[in-house]
Amino acid sequence: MLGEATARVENAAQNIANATTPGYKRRVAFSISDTPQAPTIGTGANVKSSPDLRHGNLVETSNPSDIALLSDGFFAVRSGDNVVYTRKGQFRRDDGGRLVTAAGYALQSESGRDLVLQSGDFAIDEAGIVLQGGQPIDRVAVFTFEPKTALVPDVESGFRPEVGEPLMASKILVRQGAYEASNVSTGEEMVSMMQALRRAETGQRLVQIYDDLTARALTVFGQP
Amino acid sequence: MNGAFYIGATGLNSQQRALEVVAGNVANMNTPAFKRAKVSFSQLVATGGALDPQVGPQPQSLAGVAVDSGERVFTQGDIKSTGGPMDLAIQGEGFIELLGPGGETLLWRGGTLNVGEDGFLAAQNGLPLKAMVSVPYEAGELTIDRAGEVRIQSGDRAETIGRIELVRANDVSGLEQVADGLYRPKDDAQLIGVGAGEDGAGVLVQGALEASNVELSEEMVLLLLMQRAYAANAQVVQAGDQLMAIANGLRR
Repeated sequence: MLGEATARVENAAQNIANATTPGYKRRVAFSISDTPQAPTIGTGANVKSSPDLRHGNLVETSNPSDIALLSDGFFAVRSGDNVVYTRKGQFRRDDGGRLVTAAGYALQSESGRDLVLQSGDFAIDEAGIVLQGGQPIDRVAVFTFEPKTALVPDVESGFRPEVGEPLMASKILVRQGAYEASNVSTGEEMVSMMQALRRAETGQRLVQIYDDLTARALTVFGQP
Repeated sequence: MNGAFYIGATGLNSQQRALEVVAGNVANMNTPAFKRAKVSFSQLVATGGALDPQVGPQPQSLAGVAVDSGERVFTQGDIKSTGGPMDLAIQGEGFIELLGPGGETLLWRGGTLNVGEDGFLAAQNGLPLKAMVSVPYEAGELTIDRAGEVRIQSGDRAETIGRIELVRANDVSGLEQVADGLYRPKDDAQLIGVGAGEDGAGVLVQGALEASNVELSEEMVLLLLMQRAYAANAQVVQAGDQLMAIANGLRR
């Protein structure tokens, strides 16, 4: 039980540490206990976590390079061969006119390549169409996944699908000048942490009582 | 060892560094042409976790949060008219090039000019303008128009003695801040030289200074947020401590 409590506290710790990270999706910890392949109940190994994909609140910045996705789905950002799907919409413009994240991942457009802007102002309308000088030049790519796809967390508050390919989203609603904040509620995480700690204490008591009983059994039955 | 400790520690560290950025911004609220720094958080992911053959791969393990601070926001500050003839502000995009001590180019967002001992127009810190505008001894009134033409009044006529041009950087993150509000372009930064007022660059305004672009209300809100986030992360570290105390107390 101690192992399980430790794993749950670690999960809550990760969520709280990222309470201010834009686009971060809180991880929900759950125990696997009723399948033949499940590890021993009570060790830390049977606590897994999966992301809670609820939308976070919007933070207005008036920065034209900040984009928030109001509908379900993810932006795609690429660095080299690595494509990560994320809702973190904080970008800046680089020398080549691409919109890149702080770590250098470039936003992908619907044409399957990096979104490239010419010099000058740009606007992104609600359907994700990028306009420069009043002319549409490209569209931001938004992807969704089949339900029950396992999503593995990756850099930039993003995910990679374990298996399967992403699908183009049908409903796209984008807002320029804002980004999506983390969806962590520190109150909930504190409660999870407290529950885990109490369970750890219970586990401790159980071990101590068992230890006591064993000691007593040895004493009683050991007497000639 | 308990992961909650280390994750909580990254949280504490990140919030502290973010607080330092906010403090720097607020301290420089009244510095002319100061560009505020922005904080961006991102989650840390440790690669190469152990594979559990029974349950399936759990390849990435979560490791906390990291902060990338120091990125400057180059929005325009307000232009405040001062009336001083040697004050120069840039309204719009662009920087003025200065000649640094080693012959390198340093970028400057405007401020108070003076005439150096060698007769060249220089910034307040003594570095001359790359345009090398030579001001004759005992010249009259100096005017700089919006397009950067520098004229002095000699006798009845206005004589042009030089021209201040601007440079634009396509990617402002290629500039690193050095002391005194100067920016040094990194090796691969692209700079485009333009005349003032042309091709998207700003214009020069004499007799005015550009205020900082720090928004006090935003910084105060961030300050409160960071304070609370710091306290939450401290609670996490305490919880990790409690767990270890429980483990230690198993055997009495």
